[in-house]
Amino acid sequence: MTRIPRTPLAVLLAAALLLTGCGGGDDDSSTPGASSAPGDKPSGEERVVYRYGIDNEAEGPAPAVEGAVPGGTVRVYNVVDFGHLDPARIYSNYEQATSLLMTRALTGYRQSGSDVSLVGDLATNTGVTKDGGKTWTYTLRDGVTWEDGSPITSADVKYGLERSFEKTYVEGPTYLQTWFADSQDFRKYYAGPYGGKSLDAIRTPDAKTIVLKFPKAQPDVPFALAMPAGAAVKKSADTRAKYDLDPFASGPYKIEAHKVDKSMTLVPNTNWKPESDPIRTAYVDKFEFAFGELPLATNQRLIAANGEDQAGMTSVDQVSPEVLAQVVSTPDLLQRTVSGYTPFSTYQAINTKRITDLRVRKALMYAYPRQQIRQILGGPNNGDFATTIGSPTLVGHEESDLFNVPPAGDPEKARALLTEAGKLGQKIVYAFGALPRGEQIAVAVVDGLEKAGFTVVKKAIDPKNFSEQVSDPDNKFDLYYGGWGADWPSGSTVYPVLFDGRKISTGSYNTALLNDPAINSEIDEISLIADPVEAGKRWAALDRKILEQVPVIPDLYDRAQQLYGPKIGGAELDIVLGIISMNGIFVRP
Amino acid sequence: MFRFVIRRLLGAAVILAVVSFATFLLFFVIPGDPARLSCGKSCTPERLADIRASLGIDRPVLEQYWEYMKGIFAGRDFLQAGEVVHCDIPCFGYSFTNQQPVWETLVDRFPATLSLAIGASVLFLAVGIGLGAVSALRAGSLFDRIGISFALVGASVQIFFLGPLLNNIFVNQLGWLPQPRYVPLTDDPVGWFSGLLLPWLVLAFVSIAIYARLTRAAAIEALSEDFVRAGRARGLAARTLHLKHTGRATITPVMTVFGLDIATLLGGAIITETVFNIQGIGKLALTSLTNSDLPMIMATVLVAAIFIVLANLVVDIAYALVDPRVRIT
Repeated sequence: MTRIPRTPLAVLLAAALLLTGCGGGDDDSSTPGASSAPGDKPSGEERVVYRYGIDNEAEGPAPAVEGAVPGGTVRVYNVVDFGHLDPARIYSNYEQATSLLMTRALTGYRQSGSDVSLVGDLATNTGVTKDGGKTWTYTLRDGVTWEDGSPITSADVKYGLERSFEKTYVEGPTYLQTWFADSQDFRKYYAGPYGGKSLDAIRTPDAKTIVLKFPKAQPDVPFALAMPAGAAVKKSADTRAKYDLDPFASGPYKIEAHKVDKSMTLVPNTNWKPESDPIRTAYVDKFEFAFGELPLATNQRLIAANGEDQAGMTSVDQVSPEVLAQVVSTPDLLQRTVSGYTPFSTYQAINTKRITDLRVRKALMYAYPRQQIRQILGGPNNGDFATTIGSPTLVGHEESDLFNVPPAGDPEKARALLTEAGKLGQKIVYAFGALPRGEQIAVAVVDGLEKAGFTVVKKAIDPKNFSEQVSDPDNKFDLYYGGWGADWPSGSTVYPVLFDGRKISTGSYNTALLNDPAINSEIDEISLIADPVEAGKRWAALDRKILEQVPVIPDLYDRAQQLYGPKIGGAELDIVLGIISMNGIFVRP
Repeated sequence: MFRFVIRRLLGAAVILAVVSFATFLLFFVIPGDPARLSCGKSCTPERLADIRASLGIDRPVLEQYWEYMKGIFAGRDFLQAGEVVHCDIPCFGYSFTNQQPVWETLVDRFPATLSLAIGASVLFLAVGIGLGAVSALRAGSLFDRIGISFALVGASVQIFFLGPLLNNIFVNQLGWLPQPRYVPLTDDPVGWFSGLLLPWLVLAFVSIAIYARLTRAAAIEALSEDFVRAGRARGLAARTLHLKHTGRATITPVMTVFGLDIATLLGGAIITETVFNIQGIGKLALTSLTNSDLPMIMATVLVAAIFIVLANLVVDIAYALVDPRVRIT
């Protein structure tokens, strides 16, 4: 998933990762299996163990949050308004976190401490398949209703899924659409419901049953449906473009008022029934969002926590670097922060079409001054040095360090590799977004690479079309920044996006332009594995196999740290989204 | 006088037409695609097509400008996700980012800017003129030197520095003031006053110096004029002399500067509004810039121009009323 640019984060917890083995279909959650912890941690840190599972028995109401009391108003100060609230258009993690309060999808995650289970949300379970993942059947729960009290039907779910094909709504994820169409060009297959056509691959034999039929087995369907794109939309309440400002609620809250870029008020949806919802609690009487406050100002007011700010929080801003030292060294403040790994990891992509000599790519990796660049970004709080492509939050993540590059880089080794390749003085075009931070990093990159014997040309490009330019298959750059977050904790939302050579096109995320038939076919193969644990192991192995070719220089495993007021209870990091969860929050009396 | 006002009003209309056309040209004729600029950050091909159709991008610029101006007086229709939406009079365009007519947003944001401008003006006028006047009467005294130095400190610091600093001290640390914010005066007068107090103080503080120095200089000059000496010789009371005679001569340069200042403030105090998150026209202009929301940017530029032109007109008229030596025909 993508996200909005943000300020650096803080280091607090190192997360080791355990996962729960789970089969598809009617299987209950089963015993946890362990994977090892990522390295590169300062000593003495607390370790958090995440457990993933599938729970097909989950029933509403959601488990009560310890000590929670109903009532109160929570004030949320965010630097920007939500880019999107229309489930078909939402992609960023902070939008997903707030959307959960208003919008219900077929499946969702239930989090309890560090245990995360995929459960049925509108549906009674996470889906039943009897043909290895080609056909998925869902049954709606009893008592699921819209904000006008009308029941949510299978037709509403079908309509919601169909909407994501509309050419007007291009911002959301495209997993389900490409799976239905078995093609990247899914709008040729189906162009959305506004033209009057419906999608035959989604059948609704009765008002409570939905059957999804895919041309190929798609074991990740239950996860893809947990994104807002898997939400129901009532056809008669579809206000099209305006739906993005005020979606019709199926969850415990609805929008009372929304002034773009200024404010938004959420009030309880009285027609939502807790017994029908295994995920959401709804303790708070009102959420008052104020947009436009600068992140530092928000952090300062949350630290001071005067008056109504005691029940204040931010659903998007990270702890600002200016107040980080204060937050980390003050027990009271530390106690009211959520922190941990996010699903994001960053890297510098190498244009493998231009830099074809593996020794030169390795030399780039050894020459790259990671430590210095992390310092520019805000220091260790920003993240841990990455040695794999995928984030430690992935199911099956394995610690590995193929090249043992020291944090400061190893210019001598890089020079030796270059000399061996006969490419001493190799010209490298480094492209970066023309922003002050980008300039600073570029200077460090030039410095580091030239120490190792490269000749570097800096190329500043307009940050607005940075991704377009670097994804252009014929781009004239050699090295550029990239970053990606898993949409659900599986490698299937990382490696196919970043390294499937058949997807290379302007706008794609395979910016290293790697097109290796062996990797492509392995991606296809692993994508068919139904058991997430087995698939996780294979993705981790693929991570190493890809890195052997050095298409990217892994940079950081991203970390999140967010502050909230002393009267906010039940706040925790949403492990799947890597941002504070809006669910489970209550106001202390 | 009447003919003067009419002439100036006509002149103002011409200036506004020129400004609006220049703004329009700036955005529509410079290289780049105005439809793309109106489309915002998350532009979709469909929305782009809607905008092209709505704005008539392929038509001559003059025709597009005519449509825009006509919209202000007659309203116009826009396409949004294949549906026609009507933009009522006065239609300053349709924001495809906010999905509503630009005018609605302007009306929603203006009271905050107005409140900020009025409160700050009252403060910097009262303190600035007062300080300047007393300093002039006691030129060279300790009060004069301290007062003017204090004002200079204000002129030298920046709002983006002073604002967050004072906010953190008085709001966060000491808790003497509530978090700055705008609530409508009609909803909660006390909240309106206390929420805007810090922004007023900060905004006024940086402007006091100009008014104090202007007043001081003009007053010292006036005090040395023949009519003052004559008045004093005739035995006029100091109070009458200073307030009525010197005061009138002093106030004209202050009025000129104030006219421009208040107009600029009404067009949006971008930095103050951003620092304190007061959701006024200035903050709107900035957000629109970052969102590439062209119709909104154009409207904020036009609004600012309207205020400048109007304020100049008002100042010219007021000049004549205050200073009989100014002859207007």
